Amino acid sequence: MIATLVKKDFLTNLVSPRFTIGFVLCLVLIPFSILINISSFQDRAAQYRLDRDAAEKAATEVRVYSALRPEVVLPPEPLSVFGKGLADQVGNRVKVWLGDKPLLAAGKTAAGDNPFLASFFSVDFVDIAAIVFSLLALIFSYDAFTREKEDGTLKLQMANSLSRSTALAGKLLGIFLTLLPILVFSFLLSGVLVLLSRDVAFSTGEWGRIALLFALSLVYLAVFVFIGVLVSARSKSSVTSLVVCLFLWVLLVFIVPVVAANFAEGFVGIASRDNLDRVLKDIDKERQEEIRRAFTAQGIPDGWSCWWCSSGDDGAMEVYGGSRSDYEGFRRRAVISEPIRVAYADRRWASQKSYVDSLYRQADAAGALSLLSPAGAFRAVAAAVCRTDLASHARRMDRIRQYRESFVRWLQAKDIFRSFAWLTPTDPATFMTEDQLVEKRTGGEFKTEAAFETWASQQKDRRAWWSKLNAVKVAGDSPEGFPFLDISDMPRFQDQAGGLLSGLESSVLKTGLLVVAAVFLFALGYVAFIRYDVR
Amino acid sequence: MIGTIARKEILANLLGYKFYVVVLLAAVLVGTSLFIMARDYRDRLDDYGLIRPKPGEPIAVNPPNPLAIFAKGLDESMARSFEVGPTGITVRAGQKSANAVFAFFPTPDFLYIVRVVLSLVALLFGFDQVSREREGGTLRLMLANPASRGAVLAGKWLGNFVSLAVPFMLVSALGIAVLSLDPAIRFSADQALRLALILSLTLVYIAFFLSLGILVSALTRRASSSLVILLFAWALLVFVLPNLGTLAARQLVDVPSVRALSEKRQQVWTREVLLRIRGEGDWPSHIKAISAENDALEADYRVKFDRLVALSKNINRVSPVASFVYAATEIAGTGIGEEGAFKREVVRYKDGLIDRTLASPGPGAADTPAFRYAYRPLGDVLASGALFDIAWLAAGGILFFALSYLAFIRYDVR
Amino acid sequence: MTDANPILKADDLSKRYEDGVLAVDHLNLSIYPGEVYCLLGANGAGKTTTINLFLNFIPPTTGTCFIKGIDVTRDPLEAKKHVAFVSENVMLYGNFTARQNLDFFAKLGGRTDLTKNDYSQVMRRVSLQEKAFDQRVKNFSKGMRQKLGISIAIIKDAPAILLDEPTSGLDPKAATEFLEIMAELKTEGKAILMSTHDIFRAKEIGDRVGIMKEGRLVMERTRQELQYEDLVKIYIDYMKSEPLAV
Repeated sequence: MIATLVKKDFLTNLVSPRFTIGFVLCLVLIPFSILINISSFQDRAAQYRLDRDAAEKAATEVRVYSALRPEVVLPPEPLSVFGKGLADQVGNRVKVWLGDKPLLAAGKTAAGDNPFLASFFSVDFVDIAAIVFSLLALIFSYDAFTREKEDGTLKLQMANSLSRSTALAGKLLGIFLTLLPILVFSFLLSGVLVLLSRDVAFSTGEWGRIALLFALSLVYLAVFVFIGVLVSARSKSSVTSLVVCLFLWVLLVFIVPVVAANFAEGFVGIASRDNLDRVLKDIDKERQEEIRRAFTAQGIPDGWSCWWCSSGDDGAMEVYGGSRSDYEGFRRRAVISEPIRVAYADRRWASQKSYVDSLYRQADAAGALSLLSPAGAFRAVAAAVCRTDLASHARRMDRIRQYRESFVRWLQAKDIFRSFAWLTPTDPATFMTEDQLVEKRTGGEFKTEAAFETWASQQKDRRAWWSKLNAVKVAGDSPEGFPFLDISDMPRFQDQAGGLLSGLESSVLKTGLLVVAAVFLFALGYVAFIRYDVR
Repeated sequence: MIGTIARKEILANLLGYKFYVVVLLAAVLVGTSLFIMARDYRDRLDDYGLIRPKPGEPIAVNPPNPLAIFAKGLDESMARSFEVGPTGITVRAGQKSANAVFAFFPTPDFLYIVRVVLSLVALLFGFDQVSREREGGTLRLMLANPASRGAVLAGKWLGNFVSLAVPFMLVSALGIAVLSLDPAIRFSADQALRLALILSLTLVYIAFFLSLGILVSALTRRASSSLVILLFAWALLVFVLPNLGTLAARQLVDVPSVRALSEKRQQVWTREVLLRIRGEGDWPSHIKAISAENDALEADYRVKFDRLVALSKNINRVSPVASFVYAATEIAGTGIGEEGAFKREVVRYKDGLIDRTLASPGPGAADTPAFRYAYRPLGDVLASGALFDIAWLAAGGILFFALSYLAFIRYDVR
Repeated sequence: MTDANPILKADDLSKRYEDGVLAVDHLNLSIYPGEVYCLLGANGAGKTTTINLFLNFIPPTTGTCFIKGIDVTRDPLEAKKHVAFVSENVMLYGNFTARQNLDFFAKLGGRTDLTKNDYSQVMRRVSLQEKAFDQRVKNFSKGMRQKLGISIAIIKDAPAILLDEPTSGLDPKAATEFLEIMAELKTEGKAILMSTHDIFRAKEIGDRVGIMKEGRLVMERTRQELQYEDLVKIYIDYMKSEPLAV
């Protein structure tokens, strides 16, 4: 009995224009979005390779430990081809600083800086699925009963020994059977496109996630089929049913998620970035103060002089051609200032953490509110499955912070702040006194620094000083000739992708919500059909 | 005759469900949208108060645009603070530091409501105009009278347009009135005029979709087929086609990434500094060189970017919905054209600052005039594309109406 | 009965559809003021097509329809001023009341000067219940809608009335009431063309009865002639006979 019904419905649907239109729509939109996203992935992958090589070069081509700042460059997520999530909005480069814990990743894509390029919402497989699959489900289910009632065939059917449950089951199976080919086709087509692409490669785990996405789409589809059937079983005419379904669709897919997200933005505020910057600036000032006081307490003078030195962010200092006392001076400063700098990173983090937490809180509130709509739940779970949701990014940032800890511990284990290697690759055994340096540099013209100073003060033109001091080139007074650091024992960042189901804990709950909604709607539809007037 | 039929349509809509759908949707959506966007505006205004430059600070900030409540466009980008100096322009964090960490969904401004929902409602009014009356037999009754098919169609169009436009405009006007009760939100006379223009543009948008709905209705026998076709057309016109250009253009036009640009700037700066250290030339000439070269880089980038924008806009315009968005945002002062003009003004401010600094070096910072951006006058806005977009949208509506007339002439009314 | 000119005239009227079916085959009809002409025939005989041709809903292949001497294809708007139409199975505007429906079609027909009373009068005339005047039509039974349809035709006060299966689905009481109204309109001088299946009512009300078969008018009898002939027998005979040669 059911088989007869299902076959009838399936065949009727297959030849209907809506099946063709739906099929063609998917045929056009799905590859369109996948190809666009593959191309964007290719761009990001190419950029990633450049960034990674540049970062590697910058990290390894240093001569002193104080200039060593590894940069973590994250590869683009292959699954972002299906679900972009936040992939376009968060950066992928994080530099490890001593005085600062990583807050947000840098290197947003061009779209992030050119709002025009993202001004219309960009479209990926998940978006299209959320919009089109729900629409298709409704298009095929809105007239489940009303059409047959209008044509008079419902009466004819029910004039047989056919229970209402069987009729309903047959109708539902027929609808699902019609939609399944379209769903399967969309996924297959996308899979083929990914396989054919040279730049995107999925591991087995990733294909497994695509399978999860397929299962999710089935549940999502079911929710809307049940909505359509329910509306159909409560409507007197097909047109009424269609209009109501339409409005539910617009409401659930477009209005509720958008409004929910924006309400969350309004009610759950976030800390001001400018404020944070101000607070951090104050903390930095305090740190400078503390360092200065420590210097004064130790009797370290304020200024410094050097022959060849380069200072950079985060206390980086590279010195060449100094006298023993010069080097010693720098070392004494480093011993005091660097641990303070590292300690202040924690102080800064306290404020930064509350900022970042406020961002996460707001995002979570928006996510929770958008669960009011099946489309919101679908998008949230899809993003988690594609590892492009906020939680995945947060986890990654945490791992990077842990990496920073291991990096800092590595430096501390070497007791590096006490070592001259922090500042200069020059062998301490070759340090000279000022007088020796002056003598060497001026080719013996001046034997002591004092003598040189006396002469220099009588010169009008400063350039004469340089010409005297440059008379003889002293070894080790510039970076040339020194090898790069051997950092083979430096800890490296390992990015683990995680297992098939990692990161999906909260998604299970959300999917469960969808399933509960589907069951609930089915029950309502069942009751409605039992009481449906078939005349 | 047209009047009689139009009156009948209005009455039928009032007695049926369609009118209530419009009023309910309009009230709920416009109300929610204005509430959310007004709060967003107020927050940004507060932030603006905090980060306003003190006199003498070389910072260019633009206050948030109240019209952004209706068409957010690129107002957030125009409201960032820019620190200008010899090395170039540094963009600081935004006024309302938008949660960059999530932006899954578009902003529900008035423009969004109209673009997505009102178009659907207009289709709803049009989809069964011809088919339903045919099914009900009243089409025959009407045409058994001295009423030409053109008059019938025109009467239907007019009646339904009024049924749509009047409630929506009333609700919107009410919303705007409530909005203006808020002391923080003030519209200047020019802005009020622009708002009126945007509302008129909404009417043209409604007309476009109503005509499309009636057209498909005159091409189908059953009302439900008509609606299904219109649904797909709506999805195409509102979501797919306006994105096509943006995505295609990016493949076709090469724009250097912002990172490449900042790297180039860095190179220029380093080179000039090295030259200075080597003792060549005086500082002012280096600054001028840096500034000039940065400007050239920026200009080159802008040229390429503008080409990308123009190409993608033109492809997007295949769907008049894109035209609607462009025209509305430009009129509101939050469009791409306005953003470009704003950035150029910031560059000019920077140049002026540098010239002043070089002319009288040393601390005289108190002389730095504050940055003030004057929005392009409405005439310029219209001339630089908005008028074309409006005309394109109107032409689309007229075309669809003409086609529906042709279809209706040949419609089998039996 | 015989007046100078027929109000409704079909002159060698033919209609062949795109799919080749000849729906009306050289039809000649003349209907005079004060006359009821009943067009009988099986389904698909061409009765409805004839009416559609008179109303210019479809163009004729050959021949012409005239309403009050006006060629309906040449000047349809002018022609339609002089004819009223009662359609079969019309749902009317469901959300409107009877009165509102009447008002709309009256105005459309050119009667813009009518009062509420005029509407009530005409609805009473067709025996529509008083309480239904201001009720929504979507709750009406078929009989009530039919009455309303007739009142719409009456209020136009046009010299010709076209009716397409007006008694189909009416209960005997309603059908009798309908015939009474037709008789009244006849005495008012209207020219009435009515297509129907209903042989018995046709015999009662028709001044002339014509039988259409496969698009052709195969037989026509006046009321007097029918007193002596059994219309039922004639009708069934014609229905049973061989299909006409093309």
